[in-house]
Amino acid sequence: MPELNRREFVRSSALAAALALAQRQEAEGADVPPPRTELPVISGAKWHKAPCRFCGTGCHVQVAVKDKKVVAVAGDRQADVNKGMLCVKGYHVGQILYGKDRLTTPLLRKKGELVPIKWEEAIDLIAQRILKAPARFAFYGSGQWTVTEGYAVNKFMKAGLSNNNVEPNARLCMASAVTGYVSTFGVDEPYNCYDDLDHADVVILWGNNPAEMHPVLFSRLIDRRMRKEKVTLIDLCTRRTRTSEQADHVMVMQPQGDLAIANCIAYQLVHDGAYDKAFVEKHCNFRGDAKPRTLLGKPITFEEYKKALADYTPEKASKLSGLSVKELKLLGELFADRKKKILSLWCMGMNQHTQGTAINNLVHAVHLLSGHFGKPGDGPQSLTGQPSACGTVRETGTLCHALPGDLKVEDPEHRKKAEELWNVPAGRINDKIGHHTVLMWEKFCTPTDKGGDLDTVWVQVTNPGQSLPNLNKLFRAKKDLADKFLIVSDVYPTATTELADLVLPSSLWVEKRGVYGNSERRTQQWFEMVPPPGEARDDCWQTIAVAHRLLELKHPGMKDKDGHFLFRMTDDRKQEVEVWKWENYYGKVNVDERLYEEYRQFTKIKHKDVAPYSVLVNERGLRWPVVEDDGKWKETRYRFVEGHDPFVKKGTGLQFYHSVTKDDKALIWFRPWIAPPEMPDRDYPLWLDTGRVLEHWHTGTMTMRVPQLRRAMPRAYVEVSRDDASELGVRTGDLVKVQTRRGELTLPAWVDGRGKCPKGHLFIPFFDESLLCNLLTLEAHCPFSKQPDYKKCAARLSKVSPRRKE
Amino acid sequence: MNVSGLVVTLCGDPDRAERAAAAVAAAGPFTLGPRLGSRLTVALEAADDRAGAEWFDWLGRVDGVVKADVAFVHFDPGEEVDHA
Repeated sequence: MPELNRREFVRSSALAAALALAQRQEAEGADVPPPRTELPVISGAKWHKAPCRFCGTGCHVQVAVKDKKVVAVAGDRQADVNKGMLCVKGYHVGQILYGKDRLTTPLLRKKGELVPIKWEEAIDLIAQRILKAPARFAFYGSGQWTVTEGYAVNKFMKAGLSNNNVEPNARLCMASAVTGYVSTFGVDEPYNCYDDLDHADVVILWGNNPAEMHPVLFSRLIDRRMRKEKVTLIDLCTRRTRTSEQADHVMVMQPQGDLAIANCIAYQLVHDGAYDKAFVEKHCNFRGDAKPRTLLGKPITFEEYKKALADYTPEKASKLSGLSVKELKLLGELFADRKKKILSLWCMGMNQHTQGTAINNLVHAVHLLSGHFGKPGDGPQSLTGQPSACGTVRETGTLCHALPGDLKVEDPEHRKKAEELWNVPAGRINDKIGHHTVLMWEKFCTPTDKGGDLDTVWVQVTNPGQSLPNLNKLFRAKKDLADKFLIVSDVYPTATTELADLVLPSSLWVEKRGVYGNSERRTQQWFEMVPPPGEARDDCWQTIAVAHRLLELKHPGMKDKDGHFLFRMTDDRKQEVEVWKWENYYGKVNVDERLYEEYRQFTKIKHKDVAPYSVLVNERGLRWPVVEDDGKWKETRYRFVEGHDPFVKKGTGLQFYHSVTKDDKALIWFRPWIAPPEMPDRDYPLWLDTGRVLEHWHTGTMTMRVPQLRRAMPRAYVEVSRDDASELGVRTGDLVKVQTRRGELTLPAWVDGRGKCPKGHLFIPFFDESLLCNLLTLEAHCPFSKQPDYKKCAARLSKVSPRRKE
Repeated sequence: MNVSGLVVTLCGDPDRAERAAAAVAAAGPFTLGPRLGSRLTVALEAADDRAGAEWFDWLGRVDGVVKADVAFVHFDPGEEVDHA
């Protein structure tokens, strides 16, 4: 492999970063010049577009390729999302391909060691394993899957094996947002888009830290202030972060306090007669919990709603939330002001929550109740963490209860529709929901004779050995179970491959074709630009190859109704192309396009029409629904809003056309404050919170291999408040032990560090493979979304040793 | 070897600005990128942190340079961390 010219690469990256900054500085001037889109000239290199590999913001980048290597990355100035800006991770995204220990050959564990094997043997091994017990097989994927990767697995499992044990790591990140949207509006995903950032007067952050987690989006707010626009930022948080430094009001709440805060705002609106009566009467119904509690609850009257809110006066909510009465009243007054445009943003703080669905419902409720909805800058908007949790997981339905196009396995009409589109016999799709993520891993890590009904799991594009909660129970227990078989497709060795029985080397990012869907419903496409290293191959190819091997082994599910292979693709002469052979995968047919266009038919069912592949090729993404109008493909900035959404009936103004109550109305929910399952007590007197940092992407498998990012943040730590540190005699750098009922971890303390915890609160970032904070976390989850709560469990702290002198 | 990406803002006087741009271009460690109005994009390659800081200070003293902002910093690849 030729040596990458590091110096040229770094110099080009330096110039690209300087160019982006210069552009922004020029734009701040009184006379703003039109944006210039030329890119640095690098001799011999060509530039290509792609979405960034990292977060759900979906920034677009330009990638310079020379001699089959990525030699530079620049922010794409033609992209609406980021307008040429990138964050520190984005500027280094090209380097993720070139870590020294890329996986390059299939590896099988023999006598405890991973040894190289051929692809044919690996594919056959997987197929034989599945054939032996297809119902005991599960697939665990990712919000970093491309759309077609996820779609292919979903088809393979649900249309092929009649097996609904497909789950994504996105169950751990946005499942509560999904159930919140579905139970409020009848259909998933934000109705609004990033344009709201440019119009809001007030932005309320409900437990998220966008300065670090969505920095490019956050910079849009800060830039407005630099242009002397008034944007009020309210940071509702459990600890102060870099976001807090920019906030006008920092309101530090108790964990779980958000439920009380949202209900208190609603109480004030109703009690003071300040809610938008006309809007509510025209567009909303009221809903409350049924007994037992269900996702869709039961209808309640306005009077019942008002009565339920009586426990959330500012005085009572102050005790539950930790906010002062003054702060709660400020929030109530803000929502009562119809002249202000209020944008609520949230991410993991609300989703990773044992009442995640409830808090999502409640934040939607305060916006609907107050009429702060449906206008640019005025509405609730969840942000996603992963680059395609929306586009892949939520839209292609890679969840144990779902089908593509927002359909459900339990609905006979939905199954019928999917079977028709997949051309498989009626009854092929299993009508029973599979295991959700926590249950899937629990079953896999439970002995077979004790009810562990899964014995083979295939993991693609994710790292559950680091990201699952309560790792000893949900992952490490696998080690002692000889009959359990773990297959891992990945690009680098990880905490997951440590226990894998079979490791498959995968292509990464611009080494393959792909389509992603970001937080604002924007579907984005890219082509392969550089070859993968060694024998690494696309995850989608791996799935198709195993499916074909099963066909050869006569598994009946691998044929459709016409007796054709489930993934049959033909060329222009209608001849089948053997895409299960790697040498044909990037040949006569564009497999990515074929699968995407097949999937696209599903998106029309619930008015989530995505753009044709051929259109996306020339765009920096388009926001669905995308419909053809007068020969042009038009995207939708705001769903349900007349004039924006092409499916809204004329004259309605606002139409929730998938309404739960089938009357075009959304639901204003009452859900009560419910205590988390584990709270600090005498033995474990502290809250433990976990999350991310700016420099690293999730479990750090990519970013920890970029020297600049690793140097900027080399190790995890535990944030400790000054008060707690003082009581224990702990200083920054001292080694401390954090213990929970599930495990313990020794790591350095950071007192009043980047994030400032209140007394009684600890925070550990989860990017560091050598310091697995999820040994400590709890797998308790929201009863509806099944999403675990990584933000709250009980811990204790003790000093181990002072740091060594430098 | 350290590499920095810088944005150098030039003054409004065209003659002084052109002389400043020429001085930066002629100095050894700088590579000029595209220019946007009064802003030069520049890559600075210095032997180490200290040399980088000295050249950065030098930029600030060039007649016609209003300021220099840092957009990007890269450290010596010889110090690359071995993940394994």
